[in-house]
Amino acid sequence: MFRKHVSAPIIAAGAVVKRGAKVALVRRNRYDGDISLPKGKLKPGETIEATAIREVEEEIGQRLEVQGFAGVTRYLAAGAPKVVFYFIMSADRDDGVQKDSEVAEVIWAAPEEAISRLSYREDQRLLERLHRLEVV
Amino acid sequence: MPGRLIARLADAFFGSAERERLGQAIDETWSDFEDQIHRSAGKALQSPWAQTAIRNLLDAEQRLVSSRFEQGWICALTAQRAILGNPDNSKRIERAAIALRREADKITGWRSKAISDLICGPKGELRPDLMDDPERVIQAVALRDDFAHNNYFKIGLRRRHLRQLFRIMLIAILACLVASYFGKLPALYNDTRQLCLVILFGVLGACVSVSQGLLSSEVSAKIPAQQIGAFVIWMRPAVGAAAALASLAILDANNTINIFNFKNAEWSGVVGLLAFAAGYSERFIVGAIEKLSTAQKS
Repeated sequence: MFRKHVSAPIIAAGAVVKRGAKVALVRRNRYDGDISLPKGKLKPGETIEATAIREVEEEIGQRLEVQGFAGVTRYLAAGAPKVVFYFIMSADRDDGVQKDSEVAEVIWAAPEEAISRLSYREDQRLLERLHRLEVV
Repeated sequence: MPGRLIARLADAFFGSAERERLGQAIDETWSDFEDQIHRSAGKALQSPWAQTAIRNLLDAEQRLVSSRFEQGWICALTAQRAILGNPDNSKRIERAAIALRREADKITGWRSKAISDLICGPKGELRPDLMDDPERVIQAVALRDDFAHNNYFKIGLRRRHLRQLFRIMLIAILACLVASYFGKLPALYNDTRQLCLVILFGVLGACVSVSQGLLSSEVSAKIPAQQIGAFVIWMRPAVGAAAALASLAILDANNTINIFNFKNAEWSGVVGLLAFAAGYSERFIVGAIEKLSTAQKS
């Protein structure tokens, strides 16, 4: 019986970054300029929370404060199972200097607008849930 | 895009209940895991139980994608046991132990006794110290899971044999068609169009027979029995086709010994009808095989 080759699972971490009544989204240079929540892959030996802080600070371009756990999204990335752990973080300004060349633009939007602008259903579901629970 | 469409169509036609069931179990375990992490405000993510659960859940997903369901179940159940090891939710241990005591009745052999020894006192009551010694419950759950994996493995073995038989049957039918096309079979079988008609009517008859059988079958049958039966159902149209091919031999014999009181076996209506009837009667063949295997056991 032939078995389909499946790449190794991917663990990533990201955040729903709040500033006042708005949340941060990032438009990426890769993947046809899709809009997603800021996130990145885990490095060996790094904790999930540390990954979230490092990746999101790089993408948003400012120091952030972790406020809690937001949830998990799961999907297949190029055939490999991928899980992303999201935290809730807060920012105090929106004029950060991005250190990540992958990010074309940081977009600050109200939750309803942010949900409609997100390119991926998994991100939308997470934000919808957090908005329903009045977390954002 | 066409690849995805083909994959969706294939899933719609051949999507397996096993895939869906494992997928649901993984989804439920992730939900449970997420709930536990929420309760700890994300702090538990680095704890050993959470790391084990994440690793095993991702492995389970990987096995699901590659259709290795048995290994997928092993990983998913290991993740569930890891979540059970969350020290901040010891109430779960108590609930798991209550359920396990009942489940032990359904488990056969030494595992049932071992589960009782682990979680019950001498009079069969739950041990009062389980909250302080959760490893006893986790070990008992592992024994239950081991019992399930064993069953799954046995089913897997039987299905592998059936699958091989199914392949041989398909090859034989295909070989008949090819030999017929090149005129290498006796006269009655050398008409390839007639042979195709016979096979198709045999498959049709078997499909009608299987759907009738499925409508009247017991839904309450145990899942292991249903898992074996599910593959037999896939085989039955091929059994019908084989029976229909055999019916041609009966028609051939009829030309010599006049079983049916007519001699024109080349009349396609008669051939089709007999093929359909032979296909429909596949249940007797499957039934006979089942009876034989039961008789061998006793």
